[in-house]
Amino acid sequence: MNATTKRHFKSGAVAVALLLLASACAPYQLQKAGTNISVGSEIKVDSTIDWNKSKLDAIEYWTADGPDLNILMFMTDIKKKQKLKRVSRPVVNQQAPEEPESKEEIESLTEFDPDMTPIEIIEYVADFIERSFKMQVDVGTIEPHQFADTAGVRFQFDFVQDNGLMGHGVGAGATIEEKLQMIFFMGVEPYYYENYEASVEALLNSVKRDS
Amino acid sequence: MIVFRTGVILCALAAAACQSNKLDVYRKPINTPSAALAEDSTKASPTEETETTESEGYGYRLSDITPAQRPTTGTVEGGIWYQADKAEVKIARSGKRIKDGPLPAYVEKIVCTLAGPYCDDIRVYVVRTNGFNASMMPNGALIVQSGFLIRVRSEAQLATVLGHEIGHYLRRHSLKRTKDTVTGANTAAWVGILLGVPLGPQVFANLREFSRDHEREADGYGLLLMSRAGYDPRQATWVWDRLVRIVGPEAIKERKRYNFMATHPTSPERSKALRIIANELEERGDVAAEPIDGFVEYQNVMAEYRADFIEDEIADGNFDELERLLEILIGDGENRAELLFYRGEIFRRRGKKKDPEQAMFAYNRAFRAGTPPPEIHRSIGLIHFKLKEFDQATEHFAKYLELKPDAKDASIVKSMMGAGT
Ligand SMILES: [Zn+2]
Repeated sequence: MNATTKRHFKSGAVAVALLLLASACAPYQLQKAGTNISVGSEIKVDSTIDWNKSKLDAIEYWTADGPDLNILMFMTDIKKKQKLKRVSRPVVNQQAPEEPESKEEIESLTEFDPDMTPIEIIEYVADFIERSFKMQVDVGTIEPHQFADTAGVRFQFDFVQDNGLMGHGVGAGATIEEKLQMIFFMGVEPYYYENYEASVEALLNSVKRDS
Repeated sequence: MIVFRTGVILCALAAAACQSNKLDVYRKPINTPSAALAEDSTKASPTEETETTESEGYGYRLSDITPAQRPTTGTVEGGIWYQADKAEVKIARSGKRIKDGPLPAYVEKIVCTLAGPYCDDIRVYVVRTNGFNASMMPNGALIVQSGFLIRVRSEAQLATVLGHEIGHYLRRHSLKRTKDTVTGANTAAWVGILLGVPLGPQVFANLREFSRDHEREADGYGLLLMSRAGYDPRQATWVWDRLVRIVGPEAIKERKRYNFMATHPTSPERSKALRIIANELEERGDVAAEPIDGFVEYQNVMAEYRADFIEDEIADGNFDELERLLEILIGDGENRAELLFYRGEIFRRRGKKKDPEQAMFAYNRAFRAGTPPPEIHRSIGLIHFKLKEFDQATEHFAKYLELKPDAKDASIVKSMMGAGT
C-alpha cells in the first residue's frame, strides 16, 4: 500500500467510525491541541495533539479513534461520599448496552473519601473501569506521581475486553481540595495505545492547578 | 454474549406457585431416557414418545438428538445451529475464556463422563465471568462461568449442574423454545434463522430461556447422568439449597432482579422433587454404594483460580452476596486463611462505618487459620494508615515488601512508610 492509499484508507475508516459514533452517542467536538485546557474545576492540561471530545454520562472524555479503541477520561471533582456508577457506554458490536445498576448494587459501591490512600484510590478507579467497560482489569505498577502541585499517584494496567480485545492503560491523579482528580487513558492493542502513549504521557505531566 | 449477573440462569429459585404432577416431568428422563443412554434398550421407550405434548401446549414432537447428529442445513434447526456455531467462534476467541491451568480439562473430563456417547458432541468453554451461570447452546457448546465454579463445593456438585445442561442438549430444548417463541408476530425472526441472518442478542437470550418444564426435564437428566457416573444424586438438592443461602432470601422474593427467575421452577418445589427422585433412584439401585464426592480434587483444581475469581466479584461490588458466599466457603473448611483474607477485603473495600474493625477481625482469623497471602499485610497497613497509626502501618508495609519484594506497588507502599514521623 503506498502512502496515498494508506491515507485514504485511514480517513475513510475515520469517517465510518465518526458516522457510527454520531448515531450512537453524544456528538463530538474537536478538542484542538493547546495549552491550559481546563478539565473540571481544579485542573488544566496541555495537549500536543487534537482529540474528539464528548461525554459518557457526566464524565468528559477525549478519543482519537473512537471510545472502543481508545479513550482518555477525565474523572474530575469527585466529591466525598461519591460513588462511581457504571457509565452507559455506547452500543458496541450490536451488544445491548449494560442495564443500569440496581439500587442494591449502587448501595454497595465504595464511596469516595478524601482520606483514601493512593492504593485505595486506584482500587476505587480500577473497579469503576472494570464495571463500566465490562472488562478484566489487571493493575500493574502503582507509584508516586507529582500531579499539579500535589503528591499524587500514577498507575498502569492491562485489560481484556469481553470481545477478546486486549490493551493497556495508564492514569494519574490526586486528591485536591478534598476532591479526586483522576485522568486515565486506555487503548486496545496493537496501535491504539502505543500511538498515543507519548502524547498522553506529556498530558499527564502537564497537569496544573486551574486558578 | 449476554451475561446475567449473579445469575441463576441455572434454573434457580423462581417463586411462582407450583402445581401437582410436575414431579412426573422431573421423573420422565429417569423412566424413559433416550435410546442412546438407556443401558437396557427394553427400558427405553421409543424416543418419539418422550415428548410431553400436554404441557404448556407443545403441539409437536421431537426425538432426542443422537450421538454425532447434526441437523440438516436448510431446516430451522440447521439455521439455529449455524447461528450458534458463529456465536461459539466468538466465545472461543473471547479474552474471558480460561485456557490455562488444569481447570478446562478437568471440567471437560467430567462432562465427558456424564455425557457418555455424546462426549464428542459437547464442547466446554470455561469463562471468567461473575454470577452463578452455566448455559448450553443449541449446538452443544457448553459455557461454564467462573461465578458458578466458585459457588459450588465439590466435583459432585459441579456434575449436578453439568448434567442438567447436558439434559437440555439431549432433549433439544433450544429448538422447542424457538418453536414456542416464533408466532405470527415475529415471523421475521423465524425467516432470519432460516436465511442465516445474524440474530440479535435478544433472540439468543430467548433461546436460553428454557421453559419450566424443560428445566424440570433437564433436572431429571442431571440426576440420571450423575448417578450413572457414580455421584450421589442427593447432591442436586444440596446445590440448590446452597444457592438459596448464597443468593439470600430477599433476592428470592424479589424475582425481577434475576432475569431467569420468572421461567424457572420454585426452589422449594425443585428441592423437594429432586429429593424424591434421588430416593427413587437409590431404591432402584442406580446409586453407587460409595458415591464420588470429589471435594478435595475440586478444591485443588480451584486453588489456582480462586483468588482471581473472588477479586472479580469484589470489583463488581456485589458485597452482600459475596459475604454470604465466603462465609459458606469458609465453612467448607479448605483454604480458610485465603478466604478469611478476602472476607476482610470485602469490609476494607466497602468502606462503611464499622467496616475497618470487621476487616481487622477477619484478618486476625486468617492468621489463625494458616498462611494468608502477603497482601494481607498491605491491607492491615492501609487500615492503620487511615487511623493515623503510622508506626503499625509502616511495620505491616515492611512485612508486605519483605514477603513480596517485587510487588508492583512497591514504590507507592514505600512512599507511605515512615509517614507521620
Ligand atoms: Zn436449565
